[in-house]
Amino acid sequence: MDQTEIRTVHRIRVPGTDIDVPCRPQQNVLDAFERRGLCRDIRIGCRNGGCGVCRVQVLEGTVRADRMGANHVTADERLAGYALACRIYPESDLLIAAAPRNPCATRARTDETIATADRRLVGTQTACLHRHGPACPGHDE
Amino acid sequence: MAITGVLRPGLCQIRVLDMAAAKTHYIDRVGLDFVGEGPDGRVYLKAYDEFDRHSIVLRQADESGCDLFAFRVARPSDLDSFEQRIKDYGYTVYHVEAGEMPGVGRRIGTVIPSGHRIELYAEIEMADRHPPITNPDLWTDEPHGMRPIRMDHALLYGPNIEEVQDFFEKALDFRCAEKVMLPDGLLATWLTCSTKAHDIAFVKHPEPGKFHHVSFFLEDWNAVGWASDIITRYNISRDIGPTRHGITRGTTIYFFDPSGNRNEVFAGGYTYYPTDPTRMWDETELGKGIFYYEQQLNERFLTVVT
Repeated sequence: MDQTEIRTVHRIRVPGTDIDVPCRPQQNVLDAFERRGLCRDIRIGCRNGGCGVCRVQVLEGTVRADRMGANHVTADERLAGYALACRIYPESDLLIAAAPRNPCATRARTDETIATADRRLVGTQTACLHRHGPACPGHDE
Repeated sequence: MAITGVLRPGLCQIRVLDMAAAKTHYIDRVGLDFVGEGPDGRVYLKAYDEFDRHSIVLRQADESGCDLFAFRVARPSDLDSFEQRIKDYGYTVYHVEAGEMPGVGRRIGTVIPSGHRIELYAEIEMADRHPPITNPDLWTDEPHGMRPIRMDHALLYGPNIEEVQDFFEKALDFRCAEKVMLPDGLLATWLTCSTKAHDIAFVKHPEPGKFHHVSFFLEDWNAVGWASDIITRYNISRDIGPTRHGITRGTTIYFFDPSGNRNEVFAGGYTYYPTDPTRMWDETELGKGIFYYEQQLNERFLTVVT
């Protein structure tokens, strides 16, 4: 690592707050917040791109991103600046906003999650989650 | 009662975002042994004191979580009787051919109403590097990393856990060793098919199919401390601990793998016998139940899942 990179510090700001956090280029955004104890706007979860609770939208600036769960940030959402704070590294000063999944959106995805749960594993047949019965939506028996 | 039917947890298939990072974590840090890699890229691992070929299966995917949790049953004929009992309970049974995982016989499974795949199998090859059998030393190769003895249990999050508990009790002969009852119903249940305080546990959660943690059994409280030293030394994302649970009484530390899946390593816990009553916690002391020393609810532990 050269001396220039060690000295570089970007600033991360959150609109509507006085939050102004320093973040090195090799430091993820969530870590910068966690070290300053400024977690009210961005929750600390697994810190590794799996749980999704630190979802944010980058409003200004550019970032480098590691792999993150596609269930939390879709490809389209990535283009719109959404990301998990624990998986992005600043390449400039940033303006970011917390963007947790809308709980309603989570519920809307529930049926889809059930439907796809049994297709995740290679080599197994389709299974139905639901108890047999007329009240079961989408049941084909 | 002799242990019959469903014997114990045996397989946990975990989705990881980065296989190389996952292998470093589970092999070098947690301390599982590498067994092999299958033609589809899945990686098979085991703990040093497990006789079976593998227990942890890693699968590269674009989202984290748990594909399936499987229990070993005593005899091949048990698969037929449990298939009938699962069908009689009203659930659909699916079949997985022998060899879908290297060294593992045929499996049956069902997707329970919490959204999780639960499977049963009777046959799995013995590991090449199995624990010593004759005049047995403590181990064949000295334990490394956190020195896990076995893959012990999983905690899964999803809806309909009252029905899930009923299914495990009536169709698979599990018993509820401990539970959390809130004014609006069952919040969490610890289910056992053995004399362990839990072989699988469920917590009520709106989104189905979520994974809270897979747990590895350690020798003692000193080993929990050693695991904690490794977690800090290698900057592993720590959740909480070292501490102790009131529920099950295990001494424990929780941390996350490089894909955000939670792991636990723990020691202790009481012995459960089928004649024991179900221990119960209510909202007044739930903090102590979950973490006995902190005695307060921890939002991240209760809500962060993959």
